[in-house]
Amino acid sequence: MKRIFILFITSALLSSCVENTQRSEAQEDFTVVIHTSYEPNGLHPVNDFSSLRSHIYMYTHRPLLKVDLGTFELQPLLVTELPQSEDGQRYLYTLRDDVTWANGEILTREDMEFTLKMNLSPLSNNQAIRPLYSSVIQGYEAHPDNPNQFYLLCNEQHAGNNQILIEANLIQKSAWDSTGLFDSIPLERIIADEFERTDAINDYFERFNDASNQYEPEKLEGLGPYRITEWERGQYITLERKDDWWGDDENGMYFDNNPSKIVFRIIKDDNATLLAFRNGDIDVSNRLGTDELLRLRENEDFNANFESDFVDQFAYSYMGLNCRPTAKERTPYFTDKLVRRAVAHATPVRAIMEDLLHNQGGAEQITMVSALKKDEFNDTLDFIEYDLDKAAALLSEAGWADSDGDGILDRDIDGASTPFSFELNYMSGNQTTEATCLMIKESLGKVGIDCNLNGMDFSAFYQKAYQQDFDALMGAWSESAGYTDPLQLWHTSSWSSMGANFCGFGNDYSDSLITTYNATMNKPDRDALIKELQAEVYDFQPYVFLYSTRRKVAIHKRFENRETYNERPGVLVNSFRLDPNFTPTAPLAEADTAE
Amino acid sequence: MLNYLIQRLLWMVPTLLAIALFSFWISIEAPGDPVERLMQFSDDGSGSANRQRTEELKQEWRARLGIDKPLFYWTIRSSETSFPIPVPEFHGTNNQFHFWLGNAVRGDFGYSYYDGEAVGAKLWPKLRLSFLLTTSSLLLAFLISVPIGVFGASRPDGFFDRSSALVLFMLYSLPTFFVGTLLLLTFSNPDVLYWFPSAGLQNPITFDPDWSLGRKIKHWTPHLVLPFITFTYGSLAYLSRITRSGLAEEQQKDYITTARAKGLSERKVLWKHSLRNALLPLITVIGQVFPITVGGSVIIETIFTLPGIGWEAYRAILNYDYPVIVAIFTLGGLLTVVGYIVADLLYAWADPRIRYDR
Repeated sequence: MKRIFILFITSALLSSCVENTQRSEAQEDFTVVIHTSYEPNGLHPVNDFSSLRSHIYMYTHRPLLKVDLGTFELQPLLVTELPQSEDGQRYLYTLRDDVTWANGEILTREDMEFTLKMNLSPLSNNQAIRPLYSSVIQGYEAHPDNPNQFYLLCNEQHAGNNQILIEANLIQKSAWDSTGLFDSIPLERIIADEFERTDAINDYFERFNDASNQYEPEKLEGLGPYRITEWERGQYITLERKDDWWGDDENGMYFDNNPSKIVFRIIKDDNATLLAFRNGDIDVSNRLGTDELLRLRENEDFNANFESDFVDQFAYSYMGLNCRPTAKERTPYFTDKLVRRAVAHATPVRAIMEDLLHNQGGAEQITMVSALKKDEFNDTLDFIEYDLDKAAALLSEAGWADSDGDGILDRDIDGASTPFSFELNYMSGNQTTEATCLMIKESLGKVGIDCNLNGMDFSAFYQKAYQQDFDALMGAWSESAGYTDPLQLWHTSSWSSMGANFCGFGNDYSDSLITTYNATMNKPDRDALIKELQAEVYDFQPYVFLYSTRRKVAIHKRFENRETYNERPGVLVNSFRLDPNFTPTAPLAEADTAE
Repeated sequence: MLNYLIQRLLWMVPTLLAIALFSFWISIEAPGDPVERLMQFSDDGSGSANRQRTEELKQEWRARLGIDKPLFYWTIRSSETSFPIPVPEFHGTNNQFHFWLGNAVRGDFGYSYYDGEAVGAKLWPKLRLSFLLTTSSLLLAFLISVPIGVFGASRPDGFFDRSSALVLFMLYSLPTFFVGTLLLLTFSNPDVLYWFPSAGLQNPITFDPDWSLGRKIKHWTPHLVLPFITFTYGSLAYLSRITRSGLAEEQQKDYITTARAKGLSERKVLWKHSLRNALLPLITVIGQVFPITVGGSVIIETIFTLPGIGWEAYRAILNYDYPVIVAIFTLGGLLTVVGYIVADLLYAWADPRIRYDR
């Protein structure tokens, strides 16, 4: 009896080591904890652009306008209406007059101009995204009469002109340029090649790019309803609701601010993540792995407390085939369209989805436009079925045969018998990618193609890709629900200038489709053009399209408004409200009892 | 003793230089262009007119990072004669290695490719946590294992000696990641025992940065219990068996027979005479604590999401963050050398027969 008593006391004492993490359940004061398996590399308002940074900025910052995650339509946020243009090149923006910064200052068009200057300056450390702006924006012009209006001048008439600012989160000029250093430097001069750099400007950007601006909360103030109050490196990032936020009286996905606190909790280990869900330490995750979510769903308490789903998104994986190898040492394996189609037939896409994604983690990707974009997706294109006989026949038609009986096809190329033994580059570190490569290798081997897997560091991978020094590569792209410019990935200029058209897709016709598409302002006409471009890509087969990865989402049932979206980040917790009718099961119920 | 210390410190110099050379070689051979990684350059795919300006920026960054200089103090090139002869070309101190070494000595290992933060500033706070965890767990391991070893040696092949050996070797054979995960799934699991938090050093909901240090320590302690146990258990078997075998060997020596013949109690013989002479192998382990701080905590900190240097190393490897990897490697080498010196000094303190002055 005595031993049992001691054991009971010890157990009770040890149990008290775990703090009661039950959050305040008042409708006006509750916390939502979002799980993340990695930490953003920085939250700089101009220089950083990770997907987690974008998610956090959904709550802390605001651009002038944004795409509605539900309808995919543009929505004005800091402007009174969508930008107006008569010629498709000169857009008039009208700022709201009730938007205020945290220190009470009114948002002005000078803030917008300064934001543009920082985003477009060649000295900002945002080299990866600056070209997106510089390829569209030509200049800025203040309206002569209305202090709330300005014009954005664009290089040419382009379908994406009115969306160019959807990711440009406003930064406060008085906080970043209190001395007015940039007042006398117009945006046009910053964009121009002859932008003169003085010592003062160099010093300024030295400070502007400093790493402290990436993570010190006071430097990360934006126009959103929340502010970052704490970033405990490697552990969590805390956002707190602002008092008297300018948008308090409005409703909607970009105006709701129901939770008083939002915490991004970083947990890398899978087991620790599963336990954190079970312990009630996490409320939401949009970054679970397929296996991880399936494992969680085996637990009754998890299912009782959490709603989980596999949500389609605008991202896809592909195997790129180098159609026009320029590097000397590369053998032209894939210059023949028949060979590329044969490889597509020999790639076990459905088996990959079944074995690696358990048929739930991904959906078939047929072309470069997501089937979710119903107006733009070309539904006349069929999925390329796995058919080894057809693949073998196509390869034979292309002149490949196993003439020496070694099990590997060969062909005469430039006077030499060349075995079909190509290199497939992939970025090492991702188990699913590695397993996908192995399945492709095994399957291609069945038709006599020797596929050598080459895992590499991501910088080396991209270096080879941009230099077009590869046979084939495993890649992935993500697009957005809104307008997507096909030029970067599919125009031949993007191949000849060593851009992102790594595989060398395109011809005069496809280029003209892209040019016309970008210059067409009428949506139905544009949809027809993008469908035609898809047919061209389908026929050319520069990629073997694999699958579109689904986002794995889990949300605690104690919340109402548990909407999920196809567009990133998939969940917006600022609209959550506590569900008064929800009855928690263990361990939350236990925590309640203890309280 | 002083001579020996000076001698050892002087020997440190070539060792450290060798480590530095190797680290530098890794940083040079790391794939990818450091400037492109740091500035995250991309192409707009349309043959940008800004390309020349981008190149100028890259050159500026190269100059800033010192990677526009020659690699080493000298290079060898072929003579421009019909019969090529290797000709050395000297660059003085204006070379990458000198620049790198000078910075490394000041604790400046450049900037992280992942987030652009200075590597030194990034690593020091994490090193503190890992060092605290390593030293305190090793201290606990000593406190437990030495009495176990002494007790086992006092009755060799007795029940306690055999049973403790069995249990400790079973523990020793279990890999750290397995024990860590097992502890997590047992003591942080509402389905089994929910005694300790599952991840992190502090709870974001309840932790208040304005708390007093005492209150903070109280909050952190439960978060550190499972990692602490995972760190400690592995050393127990090793240390207790070393103690036990060292003592058993000392027990056979003449001076112990003499001590017993003089009528000293068995307790005094064991703890006062035998133990001090059996300490030497244990001191070796103390020397290892320094490098373990860097290398031994990777798995544990990753399992328990502790923001220590092991977690940082894991993250750096995943993100191919070579400046951080090189810094951790160099630090590991430095701490190993320091550990050996500390161990040597402790040998001298523990065993007066070691006459380093001779």
